[in-house]
Amino acid sequence: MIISVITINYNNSTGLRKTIQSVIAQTYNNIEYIVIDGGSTDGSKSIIEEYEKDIDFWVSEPDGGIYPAMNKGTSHAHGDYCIYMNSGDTFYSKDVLQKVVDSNPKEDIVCGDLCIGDNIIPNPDEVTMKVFYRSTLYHQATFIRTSLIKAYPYDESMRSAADWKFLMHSLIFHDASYRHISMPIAIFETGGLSDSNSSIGRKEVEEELQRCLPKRILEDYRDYCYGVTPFRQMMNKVEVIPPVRKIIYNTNRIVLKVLNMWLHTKWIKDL
Amino acid sequence: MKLSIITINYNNSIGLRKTIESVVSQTDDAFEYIIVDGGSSDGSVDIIKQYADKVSQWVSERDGGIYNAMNKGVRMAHGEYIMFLNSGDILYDNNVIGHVLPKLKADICVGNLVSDKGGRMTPPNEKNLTMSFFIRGSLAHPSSFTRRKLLEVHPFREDTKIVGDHEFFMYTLIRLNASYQTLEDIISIFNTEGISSTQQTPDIDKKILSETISDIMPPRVKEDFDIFMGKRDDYHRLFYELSFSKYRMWIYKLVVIVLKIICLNRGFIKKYKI
Repeated sequence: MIISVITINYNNSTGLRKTIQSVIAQTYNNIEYIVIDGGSTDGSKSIIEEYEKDIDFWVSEPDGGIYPAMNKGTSHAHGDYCIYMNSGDTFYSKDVLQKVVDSNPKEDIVCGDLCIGDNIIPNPDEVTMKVFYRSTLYHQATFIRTSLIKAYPYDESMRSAADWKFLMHSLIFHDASYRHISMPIAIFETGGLSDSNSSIGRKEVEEELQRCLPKRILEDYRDYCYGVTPFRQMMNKVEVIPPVRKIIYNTNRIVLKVLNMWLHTKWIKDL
Repeated sequence: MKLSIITINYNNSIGLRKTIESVVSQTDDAFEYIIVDGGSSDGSVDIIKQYADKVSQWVSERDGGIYNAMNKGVRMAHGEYIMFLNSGDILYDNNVIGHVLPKLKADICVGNLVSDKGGRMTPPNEKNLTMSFFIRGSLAHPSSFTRRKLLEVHPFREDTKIVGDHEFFMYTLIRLNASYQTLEDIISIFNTEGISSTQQTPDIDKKILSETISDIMPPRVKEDFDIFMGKRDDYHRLFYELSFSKYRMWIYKLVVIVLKIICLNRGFIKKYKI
């Protein structure tokens, strides 16, 4: 199985060196490595030339931004899966790719966990629309089947949410298959572009959501994810902490069972 | 013509007479009245003939069920809005139509419905009219006014037995994003002996409803709704049911107290950053 690793870079030579080193240090050797530079002026090109023998394809020329660069990288990829490691991001350990291939991935989208600073942030085990309503899957830890990303390339008119749009459309509307591998894949360098552009990103996300889901379904999502009433807000707060959730659930159940003696409501009996 | 009132009837002559009388005695008569009979054999036709001068159009022939008859009525109608008042249901008083007609603006306008046993169904407000509302239940069609264009774009599914109007409201309001308006007036009195209140939902209807739901929502969106609405685990089911209960503020306070007790344990605060 060939894995295509695609790195895009623009004027971030220190980050680029880190990323290249972490890719060529991988113990798995069936890697196709592609570097797309946007015509940097800070010596990135000489770093690429330094590692040229380990890079299968590279280009350094001005491009229209991150997503056009990523699409350019995709068009040169021949592997079964693609992973985008932008300059600054590094693999979590040397045997990450080996482990991923060993787990025998067959799905369209395979996700691991992402390490930001000291925290490991897991991607969800089951993906539903809620994931995309609240945030997204982390693309640094996502392996995408090359044929899928070639069929639906990133939307170049978006500035910072095209990866979100691609993942949402393929997982929700095209019903792509998904698997979560519970292990850290990549270390994310904070301060990237889609990090600093989060307000633009949020706006793009809102617009896209309104385009592809009816507004009366989105209203439900707003209630379920952020809570319109205090009761729902409380539910959401309790929900994320499993032990507390268990305590609250059991207390309520016991109280309702006791109340049931004089409230003869059907739904309490069903509990 | 602003309004067409359509009555469908099959072998319910007593109900039909009540319905016709309540319609023809309206003080405002700027509407047309259409009766679609499914070839009744209990003298319904004689009753229609009695009122023939007040009825704009009528037909009596065998048809393919309730929603087939309703669609037939829509094809005969010329009004901008259509109201279905099935035999047995009656208008609340003689001035209802006159009061309501100038207020109609949205694609679907729904007023209050009173049941003949005294219950009252208030339409949900715009904010609560979301997908989860239609998964739980439906709008009351005897008190609703629907734009005729909408019924032409998406006619009732004739293969349904009793959920054709539910399917129609769900599809048009969610998928076609039709506009919606509530009316404060009480529009009509609902006959609780009618078919949709005495019958269990048949399996074919459940199947058609779930087909429409999957047509509106991709599987991974539907999964979310199943979780939120408590079809997957007990925790969500408990709180989802509670959020409609009148004791919900009581439960809310209880949870806050339990949370405060838990927070006395400092380990929790540290571990989960409450």
